[in-house]
Amino acid sequence: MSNGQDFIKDYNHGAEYAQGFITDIETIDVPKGLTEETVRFISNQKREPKWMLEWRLKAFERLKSMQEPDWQKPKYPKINYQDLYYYSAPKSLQEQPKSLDDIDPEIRKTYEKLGIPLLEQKRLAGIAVDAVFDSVSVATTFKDKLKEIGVIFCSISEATREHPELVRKYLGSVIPMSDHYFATLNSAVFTDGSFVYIPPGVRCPMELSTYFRINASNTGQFERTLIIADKGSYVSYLEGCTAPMRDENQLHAANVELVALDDAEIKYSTVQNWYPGDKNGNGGIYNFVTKRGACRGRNSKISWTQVETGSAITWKYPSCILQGDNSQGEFYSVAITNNYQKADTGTKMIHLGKNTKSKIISKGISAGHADNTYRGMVSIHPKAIGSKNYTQCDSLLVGNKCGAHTVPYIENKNATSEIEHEATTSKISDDQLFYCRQRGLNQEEAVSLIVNGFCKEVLQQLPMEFAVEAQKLVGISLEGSVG
Amino acid sequence: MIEIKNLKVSVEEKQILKELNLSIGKGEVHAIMGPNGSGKSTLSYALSGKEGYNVEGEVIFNKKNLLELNAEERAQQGVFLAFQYPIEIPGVFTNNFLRTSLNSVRKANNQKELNAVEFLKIVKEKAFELKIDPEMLSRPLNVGFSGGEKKRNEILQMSLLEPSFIIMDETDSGLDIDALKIVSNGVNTLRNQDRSFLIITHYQRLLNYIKPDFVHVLSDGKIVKTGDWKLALELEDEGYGKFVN
Amino acid sequence: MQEYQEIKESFEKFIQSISTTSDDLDFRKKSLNNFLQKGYPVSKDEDWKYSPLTNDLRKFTTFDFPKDQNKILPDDTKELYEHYAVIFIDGCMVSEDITENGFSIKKNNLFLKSVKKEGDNPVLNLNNAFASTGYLIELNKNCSIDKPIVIYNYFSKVHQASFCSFKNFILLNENSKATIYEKNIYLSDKEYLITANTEIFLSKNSDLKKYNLNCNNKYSTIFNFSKANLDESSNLEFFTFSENVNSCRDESVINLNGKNSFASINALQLQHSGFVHEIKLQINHNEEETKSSQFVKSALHDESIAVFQGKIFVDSKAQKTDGYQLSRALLLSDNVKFFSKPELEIYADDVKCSHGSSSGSIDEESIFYLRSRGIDEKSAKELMINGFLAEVIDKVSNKQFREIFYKKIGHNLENA
Repeated sequence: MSNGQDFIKDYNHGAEYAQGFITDIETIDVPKGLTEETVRFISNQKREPKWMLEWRLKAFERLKSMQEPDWQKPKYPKINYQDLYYYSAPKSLQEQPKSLDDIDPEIRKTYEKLGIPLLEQKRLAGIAVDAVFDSVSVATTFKDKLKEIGVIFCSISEATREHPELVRKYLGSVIPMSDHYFATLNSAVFTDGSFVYIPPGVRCPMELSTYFRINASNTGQFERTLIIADKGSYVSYLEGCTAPMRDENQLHAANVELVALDDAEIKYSTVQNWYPGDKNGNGGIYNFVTKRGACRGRNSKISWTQVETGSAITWKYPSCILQGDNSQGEFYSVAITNNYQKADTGTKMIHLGKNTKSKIISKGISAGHADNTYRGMVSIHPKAIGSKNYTQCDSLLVGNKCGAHTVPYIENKNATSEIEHEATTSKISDDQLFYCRQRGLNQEEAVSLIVNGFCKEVLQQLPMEFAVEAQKLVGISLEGSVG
Repeated sequence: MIEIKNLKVSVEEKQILKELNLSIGKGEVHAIMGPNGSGKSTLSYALSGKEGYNVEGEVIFNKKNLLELNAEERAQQGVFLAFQYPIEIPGVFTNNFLRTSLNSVRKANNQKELNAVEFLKIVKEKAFELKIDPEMLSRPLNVGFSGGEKKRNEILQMSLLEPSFIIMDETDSGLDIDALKIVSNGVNTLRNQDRSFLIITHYQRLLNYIKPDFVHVLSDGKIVKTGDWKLALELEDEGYGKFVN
Repeated sequence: MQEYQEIKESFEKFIQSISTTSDDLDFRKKSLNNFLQKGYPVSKDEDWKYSPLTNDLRKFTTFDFPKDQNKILPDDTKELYEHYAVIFIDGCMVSEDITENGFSIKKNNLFLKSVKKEGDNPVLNLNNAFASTGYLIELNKNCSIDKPIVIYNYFSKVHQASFCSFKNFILLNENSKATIYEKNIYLSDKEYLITANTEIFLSKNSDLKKYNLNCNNKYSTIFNFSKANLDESSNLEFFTFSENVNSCRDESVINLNGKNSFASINALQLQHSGFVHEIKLQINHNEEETKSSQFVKSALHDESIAVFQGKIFVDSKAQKTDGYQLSRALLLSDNVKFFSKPELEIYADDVKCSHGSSSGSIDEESIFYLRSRGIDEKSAKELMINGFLAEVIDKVSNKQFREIFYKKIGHNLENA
């Protein structure tokens, strides 16, 4: 049985970023630059209904008067938005492939190399995959099987055509169009991502996952994902991301919206392994992502789990708006930065409903010259009677050229609610290392073991198929940082 | 002396005690035994007046219905609950707490309140009897106390307040043999014709040291069997299975 | 902008009225210019998020200044134990300078000893531009002062000025030791702006305990700023007791510059009514083997609001740092609010740093435990609140002062 084993490729010791190859194919690109034409071009390419184009244009208008935020810790050279490509798609995908077997063999090979076989006979058991290549969705597996029980799993482009009533109702309802600069930019030029709808009372029988691949150079990827769990339903969703090694910085600016209605639960996991740049900090992805979930219904639950090992700069705060009474939000995060990587990540838990609960477990590991910041907000509003939050943020430093920071904002406006926050910073102790080595582990194995132990609480939240591989990734990301 | 009639207790719509009837005479020691989840702790909280329990029925104690009194009024009337897990209260010194408590009870019973000197004299004597290090008294209440220290502190409070109805909630849990002996001795010296005990326990062990007059088996919110202390031995040998559906 | 135009005019008038050195004048002008560039802080500024001052400062567009007055400190604010008294009434130092064997306490009106460095803190710049009063305490090598120094900072009901700007200076030379108690008593019913900028220098092996009391401010806007620099093996202990103080920010920056230096910073907020009080702490571990501890407790009644912002910064060379921070708030009414931002910024790997922050109501289990021992609900709550606050007072290492603060919260000492 093939499983997620290959999802994150194994490395040889000292090997470079294994997913860093380039797929050589003919593409259709929009001319460089952020213009109204670009927006119209994207909408047209995706054969979108008129209302969708109008929505995009409205966002484009708003964007003109907005500024890029600058409060986050990682600073980066100014992005010239006119010098980027906003759309790139393999030419062979201009007409949607009729079946999975019709997919361009080059693209198929790419995914096979990444451990994501798209062909029917080789597919991952129990996991339905939507594969996004630059600006388009290549294929979605198990679509028909899911359809039988009413689950919609397709690309967002297809959803705007096939399920406009759902998309219109929920798109932008969690992340307002003009929330901030990157959210607005995404709203204007988003290309592809996944759409999931789980009907009332359905427990989605398989893991849904999207695999994002950036291939083209000088191209921004603007993912848009929307997941709706209707009353009493459950879904577990996982995303993975990789990109070729290029010495320029590339932008991935995603918007992900989750909506959980009464008694529904969404579990959203990310294994982010974008190209992190080389040892000297050249190249790598700017991963500027807005992820937000609304627990709209009573007793609803949204749980975010993320393993962030890639990207030159990661800047994301998967958040929960706990509107429904008794709703729950969770955030489990491992962020590993090595060499010159920078991560500024965390969450926002906004408690609005009564008896809402949230839990935040964040593990940051910083090595080399990297900078790793946890930034989070817990806000309990006056009407959120009996609410509770528990936050635990731990940082581990490997070497003294890196930084680890914790910036929590805590707001308690309700006397019957409790907020508890704890944070620690430490290093791998010499005693721990010695103990492991005395038992026969080499330095790197020992570090990997200890760091995995440090992250355990988070890693065990991942779906089984990916937990093992994520553990390997944790060890690999820190290679060369000790000794 | 204590008449529990048709006691029904529910928490958040879940019925835990169902029509419990029990009569405890002056000077008697009753043990209530039962498997986990049978409602033992709920009984102790319902009798001592913890909020959050929906209680129906009657508990007549000294001609009053206990259920109409709040927690401190019950304590002032002479009801004492020895907690299974005594609460840690940082910043509140044990001495200060003990004196505040003792004086509250004395005041409610029209007795003279004790000044610091009078109080310290009494508390030191009692502490000595219970082999409690007086240094413990100047530490914050139960904070950093070992399991045994916490339980001894409960017995110290019991002997200070001189209650007439004592409920002991799983007092033996987490105690080693030495601590168990000290605690049992403390209890046995307090036994007299005017004082009644309700000992709630899962194991028979404690009853080797504090011999009960009656043993009741609590199961599914009701007393399903009553006997003398030999019933405890029987339970130890055969388990609760026989009495529980 | 009009409001700043008036401040400019006030400044022109002010510098006419003082006689000072050209250096000092230069620095004042620079400080004012720095202030004018940004104006008053706004809540969008990261350093001023949640600060009550961002709203309240805007009231102050023109300034009047305190004049020397002959006033007497009310007896009930005087401490009964032996001490060196330094008395300020409405911003004027009315006590005589003290010069004893080994130390001196003087009026600090020329600010010759002050550090002339502008920062980016707008209110501090304003303070530096308009500084008009303050004290200067200097201890010689090996001097250990036997009695505490008590600074009475009394703002009376007849106070007329609208702006007081204190600049204080404390220098402890090698091996010296002092305890300073600063009492700020705000009784004025006028709206005025009080800023204090205290610079502290602790030389090798010196030891300073500084206790501060902030009491009863309803109308004024207050900014208390302290900056301490610690050399090798020096010790700093801070404790600030704030009770019913509105519109106030207590800010401290502590630089641990020498090996084995240690700072213990503790604070208590006991607030009623709709008062807003803010504590901001930044501890900079700039050298290896330094240690810091922050402990803050807040008890909030009625509609009060408390803000705590605390940061531990560890420089890459500050290996073996030990940094600890804990803030806990008791929310005692439905309408209180607590905001906290406990921050860590760490660039060295061999460190032990942690922080914790919690807020919530009184633990119901504890209340039940106390009630089951015959204590009525109201007394049980009082006992719990006192116990909660007593934990931070326990950090006061000087017994005499520990008891002073215990009494202020009504803690029963007889049994302690």
